[in-house]
Amino acid sequence: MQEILEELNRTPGVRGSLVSTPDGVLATSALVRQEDQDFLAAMGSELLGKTVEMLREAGLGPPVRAVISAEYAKILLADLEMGYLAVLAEPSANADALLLEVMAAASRLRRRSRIGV
Amino acid sequence: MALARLRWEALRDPTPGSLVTGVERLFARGETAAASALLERGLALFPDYNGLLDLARTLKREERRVPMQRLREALGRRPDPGIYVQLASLHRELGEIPEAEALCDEARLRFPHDGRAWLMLGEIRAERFKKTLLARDGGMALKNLERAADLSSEGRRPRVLLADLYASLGAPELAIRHLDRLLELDPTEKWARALKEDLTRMEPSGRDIESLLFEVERRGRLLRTFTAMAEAALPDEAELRARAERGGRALRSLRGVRSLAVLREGEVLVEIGPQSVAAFGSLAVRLLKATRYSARKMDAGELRRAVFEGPFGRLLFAGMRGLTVALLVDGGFQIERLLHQVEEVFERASRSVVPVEGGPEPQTPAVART
Repeated sequence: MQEILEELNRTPGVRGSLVSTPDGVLATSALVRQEDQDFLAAMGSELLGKTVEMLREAGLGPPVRAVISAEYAKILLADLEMGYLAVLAEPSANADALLLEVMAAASRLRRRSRIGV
Repeated sequence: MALARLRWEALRDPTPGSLVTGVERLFARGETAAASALLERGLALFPDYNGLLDLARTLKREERRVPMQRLREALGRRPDPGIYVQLASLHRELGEIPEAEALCDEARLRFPHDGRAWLMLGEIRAERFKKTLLARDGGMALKNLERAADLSSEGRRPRVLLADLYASLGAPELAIRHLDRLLELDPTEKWARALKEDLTRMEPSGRDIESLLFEVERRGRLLRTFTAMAEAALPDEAELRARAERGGRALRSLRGVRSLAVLREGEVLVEIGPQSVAAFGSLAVRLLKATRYSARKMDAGELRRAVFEGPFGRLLFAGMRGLTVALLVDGGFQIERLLHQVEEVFERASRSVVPVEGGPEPQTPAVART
């Protein structure tokens, strides 16, 4: 998993990435700033959890991915079935280009986790 | 002439898109000054359009590129706490806060007895705390500013910020400690005297600072409002609603739109069909609130845009000062393009724009002149 994250981190504009369990426990991280990882893992999981709940209530299905663009960073979240992948990127990074890389990495992580099980 | 024509073309029937194209073309020709001037006009017409704001950042970055490179080279030759802070300050001006913080972190590690990097980190977190009201930001601001004040016995700035922060948290006794030191340094500081008098009348909090910080985070407001925040002009209510109405109606015609709402904070201002989801506005308000909170907690700052994607299509949020547009659309469009389109359509429709007069005379075809 670490290898996949490190490869993903080589994408222009990516600052770091991590894999977390659905309840926000950090599984693997390749983040430059260590202090970011617990917040990113916990809040990413909380946000996805709330989103799933709200969209279900509204009669929509769960989200597969999310892109959050804020002042200082872009955060991409992708569902991995056994958890989720969170990627921290530059605020100016192109979301479409990043999503292609993130979805490819997510697919490899899903395969890896199935083999691991 | 070509320059004037480019500028005139961008301004004769200005749209956010035509202005972005005009600025980009001038910039690509190396006409940085003309590009900046056109951008300034564009931002006066469409102050909230993200495409123009992004360009403003790019232009600013370009202007700072050479001085920043020089500072980086100087740091490579001989690390110096002053140069670290200068470079960090340029990053901060460009809104590149993580870069500014990383440089200050490095400076603190290398030169722990120089107060400048501590002060800048404190300022950055104090500024962020005013927006986020998160205990983590407030705590980091206080820690860095206290250290900066310790390291600079005659430093005014860290003490001014500390007094203001402690007062806003409801810790008068701690604020007064810094005000006293400021008055020792300069007994003519009128505002410090006035604030001290004000705070002396308050009951001491009797609580530790951590619990006060968490209290602010829980309540979502400070005990005492920062002057700058109090002075910030509130947008005109009627104008805001009219903008929301006009912009919302224009977005309805976009291809693939299934539900649409225009929001202000926790309130739905406009909800326009076609409706495919019952109470879409209320869903959008709740989801926006959760996303905004998460972005702050993840240290990413204020939310600008968000997209959630799934089998249902795409649910997107685009913020334009004071208002947020929420749309449920079909999947399959490129996200960046879609967001730019949404922002452009909304900005164009929500503001009435008068074309600029005084462009160059249209060129008469050669045949007609003879």
